[in-house]
Amino acid sequence: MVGVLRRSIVRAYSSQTSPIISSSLLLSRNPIITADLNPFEAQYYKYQSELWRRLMWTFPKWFYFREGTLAEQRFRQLNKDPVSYNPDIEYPQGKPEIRHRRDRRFKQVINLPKTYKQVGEEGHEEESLTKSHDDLARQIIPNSRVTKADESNDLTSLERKLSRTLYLVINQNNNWVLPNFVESSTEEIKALHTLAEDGLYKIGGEKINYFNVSNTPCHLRINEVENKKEFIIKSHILSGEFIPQDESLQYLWLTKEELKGKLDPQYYYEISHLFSDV
Amino acid sequence: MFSSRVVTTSKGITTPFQVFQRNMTRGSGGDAVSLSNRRVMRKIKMGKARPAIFYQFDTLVELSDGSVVKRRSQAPKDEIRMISDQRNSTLWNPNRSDIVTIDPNSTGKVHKFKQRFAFFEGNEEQSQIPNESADAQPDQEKIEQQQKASKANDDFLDLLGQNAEEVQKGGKLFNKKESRNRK
Repeated sequence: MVGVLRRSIVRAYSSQTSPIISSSLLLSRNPIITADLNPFEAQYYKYQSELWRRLMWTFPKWFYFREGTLAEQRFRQLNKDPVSYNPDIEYPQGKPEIRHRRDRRFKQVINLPKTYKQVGEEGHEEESLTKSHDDLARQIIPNSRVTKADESNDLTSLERKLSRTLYLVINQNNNWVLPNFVESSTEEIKALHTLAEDGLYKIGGEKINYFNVSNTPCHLRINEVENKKEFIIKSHILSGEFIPQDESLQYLWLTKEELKGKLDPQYYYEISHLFSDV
Repeated sequence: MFSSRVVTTSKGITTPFQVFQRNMTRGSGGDAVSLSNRRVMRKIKMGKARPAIFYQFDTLVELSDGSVVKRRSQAPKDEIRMISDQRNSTLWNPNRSDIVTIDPNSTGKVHKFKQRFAFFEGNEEQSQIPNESADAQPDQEKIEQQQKASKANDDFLDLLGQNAEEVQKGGKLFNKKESRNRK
């Protein structure tokens, strides 16, 4: 039975020339920031965090702010005591239930004394001029989720779509494909991942720090048009930049959805399962 | 195998295994007696459990490379700035040679004070070096001198003059070690 099978395979291959073995590089830039939430998810998280806030215990002020200290005084100025319960007064909104200077009916909201000078505060204008960017007492302002590359729609930038995985594609004969490398000399045999690495450095320069996921290819694509076997090697770019060594080389960093529009439909269909949805 | 049958005796109910019942004891007369009903552990019903959550603040944490993370924290701070973390640690960045590590003590008020008054600080650190030749003197004398020198260093005796002696205040304490050595 085995002998029959082997013979049939040999016969099948003997009819055509042996295919060219090549390695394709699936180079991805992993998300840098958390994923964007859809409206339902955003609502869900808001509900959960509000629930969490409501269930939280009273802030142990006596533990963190000792009575009689300056810090406690500043804290008291920011956080006024709630309305206390008086049995002679009627409360149409419900009786206040005060424990440790907190109304237990509601979640506790605490304002903290700021460690930095706020806008409009005394002496802020003078100091802002003298203080440098390196000042360690400055206010922390989160960076924008939308970068300059997003605004200018620069598809070649690595700093676009920070919340998504980006994949490198290059233009070959007016077709957008994953970078594909064929061994130049037949005598010297290279491993698939080293072939991909050398090829990447050749087209994109040496200033790339990347992480090869595995020496084993993650997918084999049989290219019947060119009689090619394309072994796809998966790797992540960690730092550095893809700088095309050849002026005419066009390259893009694209997300999965954008790849669908750029790549050939058949090509995309064959390798789409390798791309991340996030 | 064990028999799971409940055996009833005149002394009360016993089972093959010793069963522990909270707030219950077997009376000498017969039936089980409740000791106290003041602190009975109630069974927590489904949906009635309340998690123990300390008060948490929404805190912005700035890592050393400028990226900002939002997290919850029990500490009453709404902003935390990391000076050394995984972003500038050589352990986590083996390929980077441009990492600049800042001295973690160079940020606070103490450092500012030291910067301002460093001039006065330098005088304190001048230490007195004994200049006698050590070989000529017997050991006992040498030790005494050293003790004197150390006393003069850390006290205000040097303000009084050269030959000032420390006044013995209070009674002499019994020193177990010394008394042992005398024998």
